[in-house]
Amino acid sequence: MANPHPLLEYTVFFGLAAVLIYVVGEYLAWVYRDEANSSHSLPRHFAWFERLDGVFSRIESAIHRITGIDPDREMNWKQYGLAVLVFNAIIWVWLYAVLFFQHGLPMNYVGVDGQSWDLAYHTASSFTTNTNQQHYSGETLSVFTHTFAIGIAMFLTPATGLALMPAFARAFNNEENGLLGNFYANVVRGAVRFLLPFALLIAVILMSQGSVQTILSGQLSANTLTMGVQDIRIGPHAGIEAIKMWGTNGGGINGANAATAFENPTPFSNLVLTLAMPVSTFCAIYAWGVWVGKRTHGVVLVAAFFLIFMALTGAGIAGETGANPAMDVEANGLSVDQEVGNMESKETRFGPTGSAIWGLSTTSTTNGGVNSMHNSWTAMGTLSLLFAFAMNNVSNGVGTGLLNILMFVMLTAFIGALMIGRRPQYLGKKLEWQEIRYVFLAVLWLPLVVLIPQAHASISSLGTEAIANPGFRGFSEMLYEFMSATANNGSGLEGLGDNTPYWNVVNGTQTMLGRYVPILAQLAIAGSLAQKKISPEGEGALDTESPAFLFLLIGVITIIGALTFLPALVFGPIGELFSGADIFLEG
Amino acid sequence: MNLDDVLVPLRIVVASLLIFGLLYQGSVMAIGAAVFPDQQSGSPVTHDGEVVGSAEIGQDFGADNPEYFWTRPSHIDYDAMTSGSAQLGSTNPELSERVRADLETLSQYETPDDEVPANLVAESGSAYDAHISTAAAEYQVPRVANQTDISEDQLHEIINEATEDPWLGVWGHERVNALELNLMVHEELEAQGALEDTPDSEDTEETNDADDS
Repeated sequence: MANPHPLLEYTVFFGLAAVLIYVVGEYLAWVYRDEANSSHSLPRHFAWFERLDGVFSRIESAIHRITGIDPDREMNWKQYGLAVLVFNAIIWVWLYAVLFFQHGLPMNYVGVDGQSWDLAYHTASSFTTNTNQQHYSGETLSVFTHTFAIGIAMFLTPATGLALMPAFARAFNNEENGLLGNFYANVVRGAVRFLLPFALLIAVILMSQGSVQTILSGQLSANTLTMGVQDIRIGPHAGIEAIKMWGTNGGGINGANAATAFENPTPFSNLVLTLAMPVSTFCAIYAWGVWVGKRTHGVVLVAAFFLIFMALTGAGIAGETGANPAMDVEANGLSVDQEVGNMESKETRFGPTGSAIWGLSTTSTTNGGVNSMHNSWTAMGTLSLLFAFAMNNVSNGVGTGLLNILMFVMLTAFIGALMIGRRPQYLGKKLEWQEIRYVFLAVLWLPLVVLIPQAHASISSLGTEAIANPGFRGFSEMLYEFMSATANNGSGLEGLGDNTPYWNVVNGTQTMLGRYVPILAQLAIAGSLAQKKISPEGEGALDTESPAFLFLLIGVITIIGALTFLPALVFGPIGELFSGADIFLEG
Repeated sequence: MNLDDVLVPLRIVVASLLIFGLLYQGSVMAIGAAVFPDQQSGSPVTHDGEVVGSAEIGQDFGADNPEYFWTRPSHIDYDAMTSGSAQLGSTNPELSERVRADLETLSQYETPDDEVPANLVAESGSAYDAHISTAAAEYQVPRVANQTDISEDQLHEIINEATEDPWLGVWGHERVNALELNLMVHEELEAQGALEDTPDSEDTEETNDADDS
């Protein structure tokens, strides 16, 4: 059987993604229907969701009892923000302690060392913020660390993100009432109803395909035919991989992440894991429409970001199904047949298309897992990846993604209303100075936190000594690392020698600035809007359910992303695209 | 801020150790052991009752063993305690050098075509890809046939048997499991009595430098 055409794989993927976003979106809307103060109604063909309620409620109330959560204790935006910070601080301290002392903890089957102070600082910050950027190879963590530290953060940090969504929905559903709900009850609800069931399902699918799963051993030894004894690292691969992909986490047990077969064994597992990335983030954008009582508005928002995602993925596939210029060489009459595309650092079972769709899925969300090494991508492919970063990872992370795209939506509503000479409002709430200043802060925060360190690293030996590949690619490596940290993505143009105090401290701090500053700004917006009256939308107001709004939104995102990052992109992938190939053709 | 503002999140983290640590990972492991015991334990491949590898993890078959089908280049020599390619960029002269050297090695033996499938000279992302492309396997048939007494027809048949298809023909690539393929070659060689010295007795365990991401 021949390999499918790239266009066929593209169609299969986006077709399935669209259907799943709708189904899971309705499910997520149902999960937080009351917490969002929504007038939610379940479509008849999804009425069976209600039957799940009994089981979930019992688990949740048990957890509430054990942990002392009072779901009726509602918080204002300051209390909500404080709860986010305290909860995450506790996760951070636990991670730091385990990482630093893992050599002395049990279940260290293969004898790994504890991390250095700066590496532990980076790793703890990176996993607490749902970034999962790794300045170490995944194999240097013990099974204990994966099961009880990394694996825990992989549930609790996306749950933190999930818990923000119903609070933000209240900004528009509350009438002169500043209370946003109970943060901890929302965390538990998201973890129990949204993260756990899907993670279990994906983990079982992964094992059916060939993923290993054990917490009792760290190594398998084989007596091979030609290379003597081969020791193979094993661990809780299926369990970690499932929540890693469903919770926009991204940090794998193996350094090569989902390129390794224990994390991602077959084309089918690759399809499931690739779908998990956009589905778990886009479903929240769809659910937004349900919560605010305008399903069509939700569809318009999904469509806008989905179109950007599809366009970037198209560019990525075009790049990776093309030839790798460095492999265009000849020796003793032999040359390389690159008909299939750029195979360097890609797995046979996925091929260039399956790798490109994954690559753009991981950067169009803040997942950060990889199934090919992005540093070996073509200039065109790398440009598409970095452009996804410039748009703040398109659909961004679980939970936080919705809030981040709503910043762009509110900006569009603001600009759109001014263009037609109306008073700016969104979903019946007036947008004024106290909200718009935070919107601007959240939107401009990414370029601010990325480009200043990038400027420093480019002229300092602290930065440039880490570079692995010469020329424009080296600049891209640094830019990618800073963007990935700040946007809480976590993937990298690996090879960058980033396990130094400089990179660990800068990137670790970026992950936290990139996570908590926007969250606090967004909660402040929610707190301010929730106290306002709902004013009816007047005649001739900006219609947020129209195609015009859709294209205005795409325009705003593209222009902000392109304008702020274009100069930097010229020094990286764009420069490589226009100059790089020639020097290699002579050899 | 009162005491509960710290105690509640603290209790949630502690409860999570139990629920999302032990219970979640443990039940996935239990389901695996009950339903997919082979995969759950790492897909071991056995030959004569001995584990000779994992079906999911590639092994180093290269220039030292012309009688086997070669696998993809790996800068960590298929050390499965670590992972990751050399991360050479698509405009890096080092990559060109490596590919040129691999082409030279290939040219020492008979080849069916001047155009070598990219799969054979490109390193995989994991650096221990279990598969090679069908084209890469077919390309090696003349050499393997020449180095062994196995006919080309029989080798094509063996390749066919070790080939896995894309998912429903619409997603992923066709590929050949290299360990399965070479094990069949190995069994054929054993049947011919060509393996008086078992190759594994003369090899020693390879030590590799650890790779950082």
